[in-house]
This record gives sequence, C-alpha cells and structure tokens, in this order.
Amino acid sequence: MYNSYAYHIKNLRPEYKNVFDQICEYVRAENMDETRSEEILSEVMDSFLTAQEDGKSTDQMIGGDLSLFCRELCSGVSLRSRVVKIIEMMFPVFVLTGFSTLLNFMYFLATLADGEKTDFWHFRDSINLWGYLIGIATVIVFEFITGAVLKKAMASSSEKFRKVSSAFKLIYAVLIMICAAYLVVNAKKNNFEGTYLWISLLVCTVYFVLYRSLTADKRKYKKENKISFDEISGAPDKSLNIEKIEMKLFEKLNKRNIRKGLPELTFSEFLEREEKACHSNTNGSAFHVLLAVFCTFLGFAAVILTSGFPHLSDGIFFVIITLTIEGLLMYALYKASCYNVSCKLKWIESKRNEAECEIQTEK
Amino acid sequence: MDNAQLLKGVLEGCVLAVIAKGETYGYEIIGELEKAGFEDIGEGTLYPVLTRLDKNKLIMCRRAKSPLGPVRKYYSITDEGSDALSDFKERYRKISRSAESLLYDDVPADNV
Repeated sequence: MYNSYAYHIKNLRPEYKNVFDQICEYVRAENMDETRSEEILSEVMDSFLTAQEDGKSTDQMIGGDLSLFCRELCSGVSLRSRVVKIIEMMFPVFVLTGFSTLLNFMYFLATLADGEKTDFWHFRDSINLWGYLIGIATVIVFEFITGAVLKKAMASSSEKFRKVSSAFKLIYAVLIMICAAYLVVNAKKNNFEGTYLWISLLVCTVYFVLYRSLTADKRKYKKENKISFDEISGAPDKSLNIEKIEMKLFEKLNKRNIRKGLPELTFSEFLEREEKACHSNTNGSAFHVLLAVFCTFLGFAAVILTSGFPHLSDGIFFVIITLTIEGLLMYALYKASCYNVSCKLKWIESKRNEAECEIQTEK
Repeated sequence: MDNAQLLKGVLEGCVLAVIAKGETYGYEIIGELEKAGFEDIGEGTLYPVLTRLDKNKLIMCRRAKSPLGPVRKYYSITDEGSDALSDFKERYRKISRSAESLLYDDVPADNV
C-alpha cells in the first residue's frame, strides 16, 4: 500500500471535490504514465487541502479557468510517458496470459513426464495470443481517441466535458458486454487454434522484462511512499491496541500468580518476558515452511489412499499447485505475524524509554 | 500583449529565487510569488516550471508525507541551480535596464 492521492479525496469539501474530480478525468485523458499522474494529482491534492484549511476558494486555486489550469498542469507529457502508459495498460491482460502460458508449460512438462511423444516447438498453447494482442491494441487506440475527445470537450466547457465523459463510460460498458457475450458464445464452439507455446512464452517474457525496466520509477515511488493499511483506513493507532492487549495480559498473569501463590511479576519483568516471546516468534519462518510442506504431504497421502492419481503427471501437478497455494498462504501468515511482532517490539521499547525518563526525572 | 508570454521567461528565475531561500513546496512557492505581486500564478502554471527545473537539475526534490496526508514534494536548490540563478539575475538586470530605457524615455540606460 502506498500513499495515493485517492485516499484523501474524502477530506475535500464538495466544491473542491467537484473540481478535483474533473482534474482527475482530464489527467486520465492525457494518457500519461501512472507515476507522473500520481505525482501531479498528489501535488494538487496537497495544495487543495492546504488551501481549504486557509479558507481559499477553488477559483483562487485554479485561476477561474479549469481548462487552462488542466492544460498547463499536464503540459510537456513526454513520448516515454505515453509508451509506459501503454505498457501499463497491457499489464492485467499479460498477467492472465502469462499465468495461462505457465500452466500450459506445466502441462507440456506433464505430458513429457507421462512418456508421451511431444515436441516443444509444435506444442500449442490453449490461448490465441494474437487475438489477445489485437484486443489490447483496440482498447489502447480507443483509450487514446477517448482522451483526445475528452480534452477537446474540456477546452470548450466543463459541462460538455462531463457529458462526453459519461457518454464514453456508457460506450465502454456496452463494449465490455459485447466482448463478454462474444466470449460466452464462442467458448462453446472450441474451434480456435492456440498459439505455439514457445511464442507465447517469448512474448510474455519480453513484455515482463520491458515492464520491469520501464516501471522502475513507479516501484521506487510506491516504496518511498509506503503507508500502512491502518493509516489509510483511519483505524486507531496500532500501538494503542497493543497497549490494551498487553496490559490485559499483564493483569491476567499476575492474577494467576496470586492464585497459585507465586510472586507477582513487575512490569519490567513482564516486558522482558514479552520480548523473549517476540524473539522466539521471529524464528517462525521454518515453522511456516514446514507447515506448508506438511499440509501438501497430508493432501497427497489422502488422495493416494482414496482414489490415487491416474497419471504420474497428475501427482506432480497436485504437489506443485498445492505447494504453491499453501506456500503463498503461509508467506502471508508469516508476514502478518512479523508485522505484529515488530509493532510489539516497538511498544516494549517505548515503554522502557518511558520508564527510563521517569527514573531520570525522579533523580 | 499576452501576460503569459511576458511571464514565461521571468517565472523560472523567480521560482528558483524562492527555492534558493530554503527548502520549500508548491503551495508555499505560490504564496511567496503572490506576496511578491505575481497574482495569477496557480499550481497549473507552477508545476511545469518545477518539472522543467528538476529535469535540468537546477533543483532537487524529496518526497514526504505532508501534515494533511498526501505526498508532498519538497524542493531545494542545487549548486548548478545557484549558478543559474546568479547568471539569471545578471542577465535580467541588463535586459530590464535596456527595456526600461526604451519604454520610459526619461530613464537613461546607465542610470537605471
């Protein structure tokens, strides 16, 4: 999660929000890359929020002419920025295509493992890559035409801009429905021929290498402006939550000690105990890995004992897919527990500092 | 005569002069320019100027979270920028002297 301008729209007053929405539409119509549009809109958002606090009107901020303001704001968009935008637009389609190609590659390996005679250069993918690419190209051309028309509309009046923008949204919705209907009708026929697997693999690899190299700025921007989910959602401070839980635990432990006739824990002893628990928790990566492997083994054994696998490749597939899914789940769990541990350690540190400060002031 | 055209050349130098006073951000620069008498400068005009200065390495920027939440760009001047500002001041003085001597006949070029 990174600190996007979109999270702060709710803090704008209606008059500012109305103007900001139109600026967003214009910036989107300019078809510039995500980092540039994010930077521009974050700057505008920051200025609008500050101006709002200072009691300035929107007219004072945009100089009375929204169209001119937007044109000046977006002036000098480079060709590189537009190319990066095209590459970014292709991303969701290529993720799906890449995933499908990878599955097909695994299917190819499984066919080999079963001892079937097959040739890598003539093995066909289950998707028609060229059809996908033509589809993407059409969407991109349409997007750029939309952008040009919207910019023209904005130059005449913001009322016209709004109407044209709504019309295009409607056209998009209709086009998506037509495409979906086409896919549903043709899925039953199953008469198309997939692209050669090696071509799909090559095109996907080239795309992802290009994407990685051209969007380095975007990753840097997101990394620099990382923000926690709690901060975005406006949830209460995590440390307050920890404080509540830890103090409850402290009370509970001492009540138990009293009941058992044991000496009560001092707060510093409790902090030490909690710190030890945190450190033992940070070594839990091995536990998560083992859990994923164990679950996969359990599933594998269950299938073997019930119906078994018809081919060796089915067994390999089962292990790879189950291990991947469980590995991802365990990784997410491990990350979440690491985050909790780091928050707890910060809290322990702050409590120790507080205690030290108190001792020094007493002295 | 178009005011924007007249401003175009001067604005970059003036923005650079504001940034030279210390690290600052877009909204504050607009405030400083307004105080100096540039009333029609908005974010729309300023943003491309800042982008150009950054691209030419006359200023550098760092991003940080603003007190109100969104990402804010803080600008500071580079050594190249300081040199460019001194150069701009010198050239601007010469041009304004010449222009004033032409526009206001009673002011001799050497005495301005």
